[in-house]
Amino acid sequence: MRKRALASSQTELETLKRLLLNDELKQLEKLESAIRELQFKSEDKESIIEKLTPLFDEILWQNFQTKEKKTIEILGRYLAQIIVQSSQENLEALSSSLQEVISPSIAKEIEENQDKMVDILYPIIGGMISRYVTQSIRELMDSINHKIEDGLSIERYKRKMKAKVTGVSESELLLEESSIAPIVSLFVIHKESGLLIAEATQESQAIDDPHMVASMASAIKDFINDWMQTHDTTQQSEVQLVSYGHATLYIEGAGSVYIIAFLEREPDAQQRLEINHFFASVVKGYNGFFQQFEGDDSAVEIEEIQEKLQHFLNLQEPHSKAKPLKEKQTKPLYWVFGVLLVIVLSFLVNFLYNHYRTYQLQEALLGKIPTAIHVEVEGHRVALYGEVKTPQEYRDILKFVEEEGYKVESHIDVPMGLLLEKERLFKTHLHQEHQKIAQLNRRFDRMNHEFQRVIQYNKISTFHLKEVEKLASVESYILEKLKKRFADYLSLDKDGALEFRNKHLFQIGNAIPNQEALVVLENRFKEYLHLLFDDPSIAPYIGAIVIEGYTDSSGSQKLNQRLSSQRAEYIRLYLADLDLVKSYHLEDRLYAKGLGSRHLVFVDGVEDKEASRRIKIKYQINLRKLVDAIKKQADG
Amino acid sequence: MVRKKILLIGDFNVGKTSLIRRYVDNSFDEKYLTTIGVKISKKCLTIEGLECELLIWDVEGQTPHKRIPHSYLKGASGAIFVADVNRSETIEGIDAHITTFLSINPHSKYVIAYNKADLLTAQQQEMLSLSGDIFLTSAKENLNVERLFITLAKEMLL
Repeated sequence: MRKRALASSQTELETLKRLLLNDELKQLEKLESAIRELQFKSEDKESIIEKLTPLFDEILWQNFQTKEKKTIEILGRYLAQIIVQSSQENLEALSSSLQEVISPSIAKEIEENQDKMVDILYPIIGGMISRYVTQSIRELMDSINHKIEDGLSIERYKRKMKAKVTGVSESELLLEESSIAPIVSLFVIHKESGLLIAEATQESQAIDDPHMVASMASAIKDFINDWMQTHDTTQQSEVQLVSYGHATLYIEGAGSVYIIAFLEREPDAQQRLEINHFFASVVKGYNGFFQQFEGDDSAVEIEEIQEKLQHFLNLQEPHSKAKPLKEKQTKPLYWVFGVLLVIVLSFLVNFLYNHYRTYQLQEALLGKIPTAIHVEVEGHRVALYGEVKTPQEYRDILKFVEEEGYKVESHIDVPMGLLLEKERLFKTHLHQEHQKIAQLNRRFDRMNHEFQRVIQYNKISTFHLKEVEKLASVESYILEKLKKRFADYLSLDKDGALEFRNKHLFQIGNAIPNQEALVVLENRFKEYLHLLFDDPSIAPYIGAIVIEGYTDSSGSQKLNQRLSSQRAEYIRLYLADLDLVKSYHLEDRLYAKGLGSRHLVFVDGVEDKEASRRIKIKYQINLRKLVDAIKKQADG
Repeated sequence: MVRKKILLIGDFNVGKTSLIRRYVDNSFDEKYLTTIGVKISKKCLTIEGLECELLIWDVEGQTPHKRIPHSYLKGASGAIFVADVNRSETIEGIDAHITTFLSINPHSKYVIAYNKADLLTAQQQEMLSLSGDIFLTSAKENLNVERLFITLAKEMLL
């Protein structure tokens, strides 16, 4: 019962709940469904990325807008790294991706900021263009040279001749031949301000605003000149030609103005010269006006100049149009004809002149000699043909012709009698020639004699010189000989003196030498004399033989002096008595000299008294004799 | 007719070209000659009955990489030195421009334009005390542009 009641109340409660909370229950179901969906999405990666990506994009964009510098700084740290990594992993893909972005950007930048791009690229492209232009010119010159080398036409030889004569290269001539430049306009422009002073234009090609064009041309010229002077400070050159497409501006300056010729092609040297001549005449005529020009175009001079310009332009028109290429090409041929004509004329003149002189001489001869002689003059030579009657006639003809200043080549027939005369003349001539030869021979002999004399003199001089040298070195020669001879005895001092000291020559205080030692001294002395007096090249110059006596250091100086003199004198007397000395007549030329205890002999710092008691024998050179001999030889 | 060459000289971005564009109805193609640092325009005017044609050389400001040839300055009868009134360094630079110009053309006339005046407030404009040859100009608002050129033309011609 109670259970039933409870069940009944439960059902009612449910009914009541449905009635009261129907909306809430529905919302609860929806919430449960939403939670389930969220639970699913939070676990699904793709859904998360899909939701978060726009959010991050927006944050990044906002950061770019507000904190641009910082964002770039952060991204910059990784961007380079990403690019490097990508290039290592897949370079092709990276290149392809970047190309897609960069190429359109560059194209857009060029389209929108052309000037800026030109400024940036100009230094690079300028250099490239310059190189390409240089290369193109080189190729053009090569092509021309090739044509010159290969060409076998007559034109080539004409050009070659013209190049040789004028000094202009064949390449330039070839270029010249191919260029005819019609002048479209001529402008005279004030150099400093760039203001147009006067102009002339071909009617068909009038320039819209010449004043603007003049100013612009002036600016371009100044720009190029400045550029050239900045890049090449060594030259003060100025631009003369500016080419753009099919137009060429030829610019020539003088004083305070310059002229611009607008041409369709580059002008050749001749045309430039014509323009320059014309311009020079204008500058000469209006120099003062040009200097004073301040932009006023009402001046009378301007009209005059314009007329001159127009006149020149009109003159140029036929030059550029009517002057056909053929005419230009035939110029060298004219030149060849000209040269040939000059050669032919010179031959003709020479021929006529010779003919005239022949006539003159023939007439003069006829006036002198009744016989007719045929004359042929060529320069200074004259050939004579004909026959004479007498030798005198023949001689007269020769004399007359020679007096006229000609060299005669005679073909005159002479009668038999005249042959003798010819023979006589020939003999005379032969005799004269013989005389000349004899004279020449005599001259030759004289010269030969002179030559031999010079050779002899030279030989003598050489001999004398050698003799002088020999005499001058006589002393050293003697010394050399002595050293060689007495090398074993150790008794020769540096001056060539023989020294006797180790043979117990003298006892202490005694002036009489030991007899055994004296014999040795005598023998050495004799050898000494032989050596000095047996050689005729030295004997005449030996003066005295000096014998020096010495003592040891014992005793007083006075005693030693006397003792040394006694020792020297004893030896002198002994030697003077020798036969050899007498045979050399040296008795009077032996001198004794006592030198006491001077020049003592020391051995290891201790006096060797026995050695100090000694005798020295030395020779003296007779200097006067020697000098006289040298002088004599030197004088020859 | 008298023709005169005049120059517009001043630092970069001071509004030289804008001034010319405002003044010259017959403006030459501006892209032309940009690379050589000068644009040339022409303006005809009559000063007290005297016909005159100005050939106006808009000389680009010099930079370390781009030197303007002094020959551009030669032969000019007058010059307008332009500064941006909002950038003091451009005003200070005018003296150097004038010195250079007068060293080449000692007898030429000149006026000075403090341009971009439209960026100044009215109060700032009043505070500026300008002498006779200095003009406060605005190419944008066409302030004193014609006066600037005519004053120079009068100086040159009369």
